Amino acid sequence: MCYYLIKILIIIYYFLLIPALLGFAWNKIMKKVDGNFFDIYIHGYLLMFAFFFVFVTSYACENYAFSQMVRIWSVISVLLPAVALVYVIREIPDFVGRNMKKGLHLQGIGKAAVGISLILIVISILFVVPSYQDDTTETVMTTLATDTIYVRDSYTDDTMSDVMRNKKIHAPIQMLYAVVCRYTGIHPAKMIHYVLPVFFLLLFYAVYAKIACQLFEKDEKKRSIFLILINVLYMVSIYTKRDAVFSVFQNIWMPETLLYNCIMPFAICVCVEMMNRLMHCKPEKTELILYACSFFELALAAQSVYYMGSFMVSFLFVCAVIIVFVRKGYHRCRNSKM
Amino acid sequence: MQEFKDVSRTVWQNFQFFSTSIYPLLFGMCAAFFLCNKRKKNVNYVYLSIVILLFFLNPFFANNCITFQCENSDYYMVLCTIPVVVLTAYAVTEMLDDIEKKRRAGSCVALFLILQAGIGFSYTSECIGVGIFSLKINPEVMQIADALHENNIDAKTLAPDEVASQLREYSLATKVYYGNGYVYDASDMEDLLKTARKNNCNIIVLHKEDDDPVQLEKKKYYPLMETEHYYVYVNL
Repeated sequence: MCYYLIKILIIIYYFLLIPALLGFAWNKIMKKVDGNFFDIYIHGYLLMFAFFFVFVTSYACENYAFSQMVRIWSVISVLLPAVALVYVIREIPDFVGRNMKKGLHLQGIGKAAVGISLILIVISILFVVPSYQDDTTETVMTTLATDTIYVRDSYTDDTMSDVMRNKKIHAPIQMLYAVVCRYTGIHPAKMIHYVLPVFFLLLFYAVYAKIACQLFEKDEKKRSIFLILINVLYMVSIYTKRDAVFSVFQNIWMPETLLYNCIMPFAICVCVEMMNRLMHCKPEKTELILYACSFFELALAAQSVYYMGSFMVSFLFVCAVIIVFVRKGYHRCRNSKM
Repeated sequence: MQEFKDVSRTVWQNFQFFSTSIYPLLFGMCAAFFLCNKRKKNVNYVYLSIVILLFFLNPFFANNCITFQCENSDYYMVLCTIPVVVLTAYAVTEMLDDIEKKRRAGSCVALFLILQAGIGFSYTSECIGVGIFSLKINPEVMQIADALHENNIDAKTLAPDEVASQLREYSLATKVYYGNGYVYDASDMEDLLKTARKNNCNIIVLHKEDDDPVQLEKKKYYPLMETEHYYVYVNL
């Protein structure tokens, strides 16, 4: 009984407490007065992915064993949240009190949106079979068995080519899953198929709730309709042969799925917020620095899950800046003619 | 009558093939809705989508992207940055708000039918598996892996996708020839056996309907076991 309790506590520590503390620290650094639990959760995960990416890429290049990496990461994963806790300990009670007072105050359709989301989470975790393209479990099992980091192919067990290894090492999110499997002793298939979706699907919904708040601000009815539509569009992949949209409810832990359904939509949300701000007023220096920090956070987090991640985020930000320049130039020309 | 059935089947298959183009059309309609709408509140989503698409279609950008950033086969992933789902859901939410209350139910039904048409009305229960805490692995795959382990076979397996993708989730004792662009196809048994020989696969797993014991025996593959849907052959 005690053994299972320790496993649960480790899982809660790695997938809830660390992201929460990092999220609170980010909130304080970015001076967000009106932040909510969604912001904390999303930024916490992005920071955790970013730190893990920086650690693994600077570590694995020296070809150390996986078990050594686990030992070093265990130290980092205690120090980092401890520093974050010391930094934000005074703000946490205020933040929690403020957000609890706001509360959810869901009306009929809001309750329907939350209900549908919860039902889909349960169906996804208990009944949906992962897609055949997913090799996460095999990769984690191979890592744990061979004590190497992306050396052996997860299916054929042959030595990976340098090109493939380079690609994988620069997107090491699967090693994070392997690390937690090593700490808890849980079978990788159970960890990946049953534990990860609980936290990652919450991340998915947090991202879309954040987008809904950006689009509809205080209109709760429209936000709820938006979330119901998101569920309807995404749940298609459960019952069709066509992968019309990405398989969120099949394998949310898969690097590409995590990138295109959690990180990139949030990057777009941040880009649009930046564009809306830059269109209406000249930004201050501190604001530009904060946007730059957001960019680095997103780029590193995206890179940790997919080898093209940082390029995608950079490309998005460049497109956003180009649009702002073009639109501002157009408005200036139009105003000067008038 | 038979001709009519053949024509209907062909039309249906063509419809299913082209039906996914409904999604880009839907996305285009949603983008047009925002561009034409006087309430241009979050139109930056549309502008961002259009600029990403223009960059994607630009050969100069494509060439540099493939040279410095990604492989040729991964270039289409740039399109995945377009917020199709967000924009579609946003547009539909705003459209529903504009529609009269008594017509909203009908609009929702129409939207649902369009979504189903977009997937070609093709449904599957392959993604649903019942078996809480069974590691979400097909019991037949577990049976095959256990049998290989019991017989002490140093196995390298060639198997259908649904088996190959799960064998090493259950046990690392079996190697699998899968991934890296390989597509399993048992319709040409000779080709399959060539692939098995070339990659030193001593185990072949076949669907029961693809079974060809004569040809397999010619190449010295003998039956090892059978499950509900598969035959397993071994080359000793």
